[in-house]
Amino acid sequence: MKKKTRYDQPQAGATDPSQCNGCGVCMLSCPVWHQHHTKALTYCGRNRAAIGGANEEDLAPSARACILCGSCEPLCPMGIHTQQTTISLRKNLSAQGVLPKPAALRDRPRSGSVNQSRIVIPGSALQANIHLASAVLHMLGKSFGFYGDDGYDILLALESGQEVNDARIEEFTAPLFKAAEVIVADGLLYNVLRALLPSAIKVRTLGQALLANGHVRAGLRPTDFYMIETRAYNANRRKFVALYETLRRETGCFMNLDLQRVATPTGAASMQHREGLASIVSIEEQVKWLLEGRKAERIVVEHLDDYDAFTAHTKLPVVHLAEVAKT
Amino acid sequence: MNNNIKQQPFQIKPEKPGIIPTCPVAPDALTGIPRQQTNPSCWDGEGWRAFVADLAAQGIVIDEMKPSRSLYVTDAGGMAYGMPRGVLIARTTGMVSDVMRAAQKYCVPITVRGGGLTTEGETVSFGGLQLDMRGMSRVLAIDKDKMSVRCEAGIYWHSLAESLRRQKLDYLSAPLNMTSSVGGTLGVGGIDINSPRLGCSADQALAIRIVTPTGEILECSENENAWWFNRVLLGYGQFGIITEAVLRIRPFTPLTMHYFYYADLRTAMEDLVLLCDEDAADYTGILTMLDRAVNLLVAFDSDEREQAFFKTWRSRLRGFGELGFALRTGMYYALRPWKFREALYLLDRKRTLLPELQPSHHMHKGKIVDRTVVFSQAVWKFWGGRQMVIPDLATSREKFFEAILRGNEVCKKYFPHYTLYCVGIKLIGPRERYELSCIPPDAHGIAFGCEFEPMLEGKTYSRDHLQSFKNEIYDIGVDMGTSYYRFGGMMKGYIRRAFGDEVVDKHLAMKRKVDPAMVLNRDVIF
Repeated sequence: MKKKTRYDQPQAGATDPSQCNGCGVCMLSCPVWHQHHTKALTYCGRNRAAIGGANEEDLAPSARACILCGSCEPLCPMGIHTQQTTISLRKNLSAQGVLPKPAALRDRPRSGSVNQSRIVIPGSALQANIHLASAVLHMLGKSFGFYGDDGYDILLALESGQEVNDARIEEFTAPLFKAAEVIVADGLLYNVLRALLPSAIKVRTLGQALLANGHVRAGLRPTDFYMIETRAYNANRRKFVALYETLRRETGCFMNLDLQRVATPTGAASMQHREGLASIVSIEEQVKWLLEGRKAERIVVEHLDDYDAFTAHTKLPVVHLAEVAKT
Repeated sequence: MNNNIKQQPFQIKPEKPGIIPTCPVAPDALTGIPRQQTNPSCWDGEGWRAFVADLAAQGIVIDEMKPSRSLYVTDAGGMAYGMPRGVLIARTTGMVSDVMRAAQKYCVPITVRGGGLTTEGETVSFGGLQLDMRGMSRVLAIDKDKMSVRCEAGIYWHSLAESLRRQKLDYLSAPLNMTSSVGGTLGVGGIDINSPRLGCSADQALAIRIVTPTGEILECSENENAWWFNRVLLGYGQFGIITEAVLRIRPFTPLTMHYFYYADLRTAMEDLVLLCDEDAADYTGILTMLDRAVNLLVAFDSDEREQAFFKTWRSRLRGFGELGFALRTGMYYALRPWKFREALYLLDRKRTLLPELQPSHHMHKGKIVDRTVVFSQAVWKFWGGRQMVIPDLATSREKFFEAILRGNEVCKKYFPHYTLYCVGIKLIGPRERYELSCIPPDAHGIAFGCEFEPMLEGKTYSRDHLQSFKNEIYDIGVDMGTSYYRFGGMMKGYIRRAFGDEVVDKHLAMKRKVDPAMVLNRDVIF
């Protein structure tokens, strides 16, 4: 099986960012734009500034502001890979010492071995929540097993622009090459594994896998606000949009999809919020915007970071998708 | 007539990615080319430091950093380049007022920008202050009883639609481009495919809050400060800055869309006029692919209107359905094998463009949901680029056919492929604001507009080639006494030729009176 390219490197066929025409369509769904209305802090802004002669250091505040939710990615009419461009800029800025290295790039449990050929990478928070973890496995079926290595250090390095050690990637992915199916809770990790693992291995998001269970779908109500994990969705909108549009029509629930069918984030999954770094994207503001004008009675999330965000900033009940099943 | 027109476009390659290449046209290359639009000279900066210091003392900090300023070097047209001396993102009406007072005092030019979708450099600052209104992008109040919304004027139509949709509401008419701002649109017109029924976007405004060129804050409507209301709407940004607007809204409806195909532009235009005159459709417009592949779009908000159309008007239209047209066109090209390239182009357009106009995730039960999103994405994908060349003409019904057919011939000379986008624009009675605006002076009841949109197809054309094309279209307007619509295409170089000295001098006198230092959006039309 042929190994694919690294996620943090430009993909073949990607459009050169200098081809940006400045249309600003990518800004329309950007949470940084929504909260600040300052073009310089958006992907469009830093790209146009670069085209206009700004050096990388000038773009540091903008690179720092981005929460890598990927909402700009599916919108560029020129086909520019905005996520990878931002990661690449962060790498250069980190190398110059302009962006700090997160203190939390620490050693974490790395037991990646698992007996099953169908693997779930749940993330440490979900795995630590015994009740929820068992609900997830129950809904997916007993042939799945949790993967001990959450790959968080890889994600953090990627987000913060640090070099990701090839040996570490090898260590993380080697057991996965033996799997038939891998289910990933974290959207960015899903994107990384889609790039790294051969296409013969089925890689799915946790939301996608849970929604394949009819009991889970039946448990959704028209008064639910359904929070799609944004990073996987936005990076693969073409692949996912039909699934969620159908779900919305079937259930009548509200969703974090805007008019462009881009998933709006809470921002809670960003490195800035996970690591307690300064962020110009207020989660409270995002939650307020997501629920504005929507008469939701319950929040259903695919990702635990969003669970925390809604719990902190609304009085509505918040449940994980694995908990809604009607049996 | 210059001989360069049929010449192949040449490539301009930047020295390295990210570097804007220098214009390769030699000074003597302009000889014989009727290029009218050139960048205004850069403002000399006298008074700038005092202006900045004065505002800083009031807590308003102008951003003078080059990276910030470089975001504003050009507009959607990508033809005019200028660098502002400083940038300010407007956050409140009071801030805009303070800026205008200081601008009058120190004679600092202020160039206001929303989405920056002008194509002739109207929103590009040549050395003064760039005032970015998008910092004022809030929806302030939605009134379901009065069916109106009050919003800040820097808001993108897309963001406004996003808020309205959550209440199952929609705006009435707005450009098919999500990155145009409300304020900018009200200042120049704004055309939608429902404009034959509802008029231009500016006519949807019930009230506006403005800052005058001297910094006064006024609430304006037909009943209050009506003179200002009529000067600022469709006023090309000359008489005030719109900071808030109250707009009409309506219940949101998905659309049923039908396409009829014609092998002849004039026939399609005649049918468009018929539909507009008889109010036969909720939305209608023409999009061309080739001279012999013209698309008449017809859409409806309700099943009743759709049924009435098929009962009464469909049989009077001479366009074909997709299958009928495909058979006829296939036969045409089968008998003319030397035109195989044209046939391939049409097939490619059918394969690439048509699915983009009805993507499955925006379709529900055969109806299109969020048409503006769909059309806007298609516009940027197929017609967008680092240069957008969209000259347009707005004409009376009587002049519509001749003007557009002449424009079509001009397109043919300059580009292998292009699109014409034609719509009707209902006039809401005689309005003071229609004078010296996108609305043609001789139009009554309805006007018609047409955008001439070359497909640049990734090629880089010289600025002179593009400007000459635009000028030749604009010259048709001068020759026939039409106007120009939608993108604020009325230019300083054309205004007197198009409207005559008397009207222009009248408006110039008004401008001088309300803007003594002539600082607001200078060089756009005056």
